[in-house]
Amino acid sequence: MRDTRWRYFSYLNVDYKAAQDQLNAWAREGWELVEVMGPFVRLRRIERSDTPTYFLDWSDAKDPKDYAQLLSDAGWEWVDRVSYLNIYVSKPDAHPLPIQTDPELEYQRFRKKALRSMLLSTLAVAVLLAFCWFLLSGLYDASDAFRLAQERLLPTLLSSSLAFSAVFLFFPLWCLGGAAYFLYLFRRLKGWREAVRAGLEPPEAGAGALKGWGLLRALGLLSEAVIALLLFPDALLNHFLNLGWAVGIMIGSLICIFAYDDPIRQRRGKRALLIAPLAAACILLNGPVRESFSGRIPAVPVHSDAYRVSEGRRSDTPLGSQAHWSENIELSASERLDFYFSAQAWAFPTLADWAFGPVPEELEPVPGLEGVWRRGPANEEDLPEYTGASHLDVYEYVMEMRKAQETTRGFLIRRGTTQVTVECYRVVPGTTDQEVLEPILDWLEQ
Amino acid sequence: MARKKLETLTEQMYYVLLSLWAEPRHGYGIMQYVDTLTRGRVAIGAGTLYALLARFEEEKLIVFTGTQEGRKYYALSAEGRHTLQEEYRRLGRQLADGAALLREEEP
Repeated sequence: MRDTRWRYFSYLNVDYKAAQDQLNAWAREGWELVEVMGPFVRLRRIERSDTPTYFLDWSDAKDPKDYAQLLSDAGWEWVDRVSYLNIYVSKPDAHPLPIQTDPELEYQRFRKKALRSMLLSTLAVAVLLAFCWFLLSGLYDASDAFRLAQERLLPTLLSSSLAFSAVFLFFPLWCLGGAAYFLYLFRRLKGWREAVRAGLEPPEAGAGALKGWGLLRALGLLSEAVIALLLFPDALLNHFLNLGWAVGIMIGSLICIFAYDDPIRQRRGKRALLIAPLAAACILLNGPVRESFSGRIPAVPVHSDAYRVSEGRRSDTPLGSQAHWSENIELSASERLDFYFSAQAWAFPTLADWAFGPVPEELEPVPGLEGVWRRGPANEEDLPEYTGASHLDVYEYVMEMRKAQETTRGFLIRRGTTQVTVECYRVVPGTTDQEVLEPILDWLEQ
Repeated sequence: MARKKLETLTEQMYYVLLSLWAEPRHGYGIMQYVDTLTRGRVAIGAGTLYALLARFEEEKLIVFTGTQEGRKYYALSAEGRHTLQEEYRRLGRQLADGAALLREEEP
């Protein structure tokens, strides 16, 4: 096996001449490129008798096969791709002409492609910003007739998924980095245009600029890798992903392998095919792992005498946690109590205050208990009219109607950075609020 | 497809069209013909040639005639022939103007 080594290799697209020079410098030292992986390249000792030459070329041919044939005839072999640029190496003993020999045409072509990719990136960012505005505007309101607390989309997402939390934290940095890159790109294109018009070589970026921008690119790639990796603990710990994701990855990878001629897509498809079973395994292990991990919200059930506990959703992220479950307590052969819980807990008080929002005006404080509010039966005018057609619609309607009954109570409890809403059904008349709340408050003290 | 600004062809454009005057050729055949014709003076890289062929085809100066062994062949269109002849005449006038002046000054 030949000597191989890994080297750091991170350049912006506009600095591709510097990247090309680096590959050619390594070639003169006796190292040829094997593959590119993120901001790194794998090199190996050259065994051919001549020194290879590298050329980076924008990958956008309308007929890629035709272009590949022409390049092959001309003495170039494709090695790998980095971002939008294909890396070619001269065939042994071929000594081909450079792929681009018209400076003005080369500038125009790069400018057109760079600006188009900038436009697409800007559109993508605009869509994401619109989504962020939607998240932050509070337009999503999941409250129902009981109105114990408002369930907002952004806090729900931040406490549901590690990957989403990371995207939310990285997004402003990506926007800033992208804006800075656009300014740099415009400056470099301007210098290039002036050089071409004067018949001069395009100006090269300084060593400091190359390193700085290369590092910025590498950090961007690292943030993407972190988000991808976080999907695995999400699958293990949280309910954000289901088996459909693993199936989707597998289908996508098979399409990449068999439906495309592009070697990059095929390579990514093969790698994804390895990842899909791992993702499926994580999702299948979610149950045992979740049970062994307590998280911020204490373990359920609240009532030790509950005969049935249904845990709907439970998730933990560095920012927040949430859980939804129900408990049934058998009082006698014909009587039972039903509890529906929804809990949130946050890492910081500021975050908790923002996520919880104000206490709904319709709730009344429970006398003698700090941080506890109650709501009695729902008002008749707040109850929805039945408009459904399926059995699920009937079930939901019945649940809404039960909230109107006298044996129904709702509580909102806040303790520090934790909030719990409790809907209680079939409460025995005469039971005090303190009797209902005592086991819940004890559970919260854990 | 003359450059609208100057209404001329670059040297590389001229030789690409010239290489298709006598017969259809594929991309690498064009590169080899130009290299032979100019004795290596005019070098057209594969990427540059690909971009030129795409533009010429878009401007209908050349037409795709078929594929053989995975290589696309192109031929000059009537408009391409006309453009090439115009450029040839223009270059001829330039040469004549230069000859009239410069030959007088030759020792």
